[in-house]
Amino acid sequence: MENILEIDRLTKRFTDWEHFSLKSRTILDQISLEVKPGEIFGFLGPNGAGKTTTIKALMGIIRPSSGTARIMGHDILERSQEVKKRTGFLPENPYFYDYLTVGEFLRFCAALFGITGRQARQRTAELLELVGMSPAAGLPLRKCSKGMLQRTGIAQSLVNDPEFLVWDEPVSGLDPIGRKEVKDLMLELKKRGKTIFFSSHILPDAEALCDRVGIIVGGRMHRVGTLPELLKDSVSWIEVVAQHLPEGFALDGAGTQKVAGQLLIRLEGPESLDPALKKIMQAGGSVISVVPQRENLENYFARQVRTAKEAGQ
Amino acid sequence: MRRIFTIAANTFRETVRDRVLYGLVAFALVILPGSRLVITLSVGQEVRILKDFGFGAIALFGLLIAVVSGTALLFKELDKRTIYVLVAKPVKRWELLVGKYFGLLATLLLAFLIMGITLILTLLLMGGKPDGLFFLTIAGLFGQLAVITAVAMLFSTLAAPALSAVFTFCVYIAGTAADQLRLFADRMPGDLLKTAAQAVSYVIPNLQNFNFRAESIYNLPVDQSKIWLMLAYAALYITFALTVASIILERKDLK
Repeated sequence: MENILEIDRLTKRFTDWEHFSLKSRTILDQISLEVKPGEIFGFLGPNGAGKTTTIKALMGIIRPSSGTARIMGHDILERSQEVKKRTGFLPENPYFYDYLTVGEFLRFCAALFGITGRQARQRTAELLELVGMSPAAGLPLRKCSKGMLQRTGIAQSLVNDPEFLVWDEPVSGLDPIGRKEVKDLMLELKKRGKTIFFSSHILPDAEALCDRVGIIVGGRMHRVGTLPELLKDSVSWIEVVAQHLPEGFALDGAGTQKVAGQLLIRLEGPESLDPALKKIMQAGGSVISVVPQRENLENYFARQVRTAKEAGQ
Repeated sequence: MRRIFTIAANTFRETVRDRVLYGLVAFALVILPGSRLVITLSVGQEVRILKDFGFGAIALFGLLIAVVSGTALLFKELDKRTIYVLVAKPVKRWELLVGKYFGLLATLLLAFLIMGITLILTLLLMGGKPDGLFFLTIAGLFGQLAVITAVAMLFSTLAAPALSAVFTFCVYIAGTAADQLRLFADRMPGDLLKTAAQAVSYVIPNLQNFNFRAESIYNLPVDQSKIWLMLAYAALYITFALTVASIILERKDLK
């Protein structure tokens, strides 16, 4: 099956007309990535990296300066109506019409897709139930907390039962319980066959949810891949457990700790493994386990951002 | 069409809940005591003066609603970023603009109904009664403001509300004196200046096409062709203003 999203060398430059400057700033520089059907794709990057700009370009809020993007095979500019009929969008820090209640707003969104009357009321009730907002249906949006607005935003993005969801920072501003509920909802939607493209800077959440991630830094795509692919070369240290070693056994550059008659050895990097194993054997010891300790996404991400910045991106 | 109606209905709800109607209550409070003042000042001319005063007040309050709401509606959508949700749905930008325009027009119509009824009641209290010309004048005032609302929305795609409101108000003033403006343009020295002044005078809406106040107050006959001219001119000018506004909005990055 074709990719749900294909971004090809998408570029966005802004000219600062407001300050009478003719200089243009490149916010997105030839971004390319693909999202496969049924996956949860995390679009990660530090603040100001270009995540929201990319999403705005995909949703027709801003026009790309060059490059293309296709959603479900349709060009986002030429076939924007087709794209929008089958896509659900949650903006960052959503803010909705003060003068409407939660229920009225969802029915308004449903009407824009041609869902009206009893069908709209039914759909609204289902969505409110899904996001845990049923008791707040009659609450004016101006009285909603940030978390409630986020849930309302999620509900409106699902009003047309879309195949593809584009969510900008869906868990930001939520308390731990709210975050868990949104994450559970994302996994539930994935089970129902939806594809989710979401931006985040909350990396443990992304790590728990994503099939693949893309890292954007300074308007350029830095890495795209599955978590095992990205983290495969990022072994931080190797933990070796050995026994029957003589008292005072030590390895150059490695930390050791005696635990329940066994020696726990921490090796810095894979290159020191072979010499260490050889030395253990020579000392008459036996190896019980060798466990490479991989970097988590947060550390990997911080390292990638640092590398990108050092490279001048 | 359905999407335009949905947006129009929502805009109507927005403007009505946005305390615009409170201004109309103020209007009712002004016109009724105002009429008593008129009676004491103009013996024998009460009904005429009241009509003139009432039409002026309707035009002023209507203008306030048209300019304040017309220039702020789109800006609020952009400023509060509520437009992101709309644009990401299968809504074309011109549909958004036209929907908002008709929503505001519906609010204006409601305001005219309330103000018109208040004026009629005051007129009846003073022994006068509304005739066909009375209603034609009200319709003319509504036509003027329908055009001005479109102009306000056009400016709102280009500038912030305060600046758009000033521009719209200037267009209204110039439009109510459009015939004089054209005479003035014809008398400009130098071909270039004359052509430029004439061009400006033709771009500014001629709101005198909508003015039946003198006919209504002095019971003068109205040529039916003037009514058709008013309708055609309003339709053309509104289409022109909204088309230009749509083209601008279509090309705009909604940051």
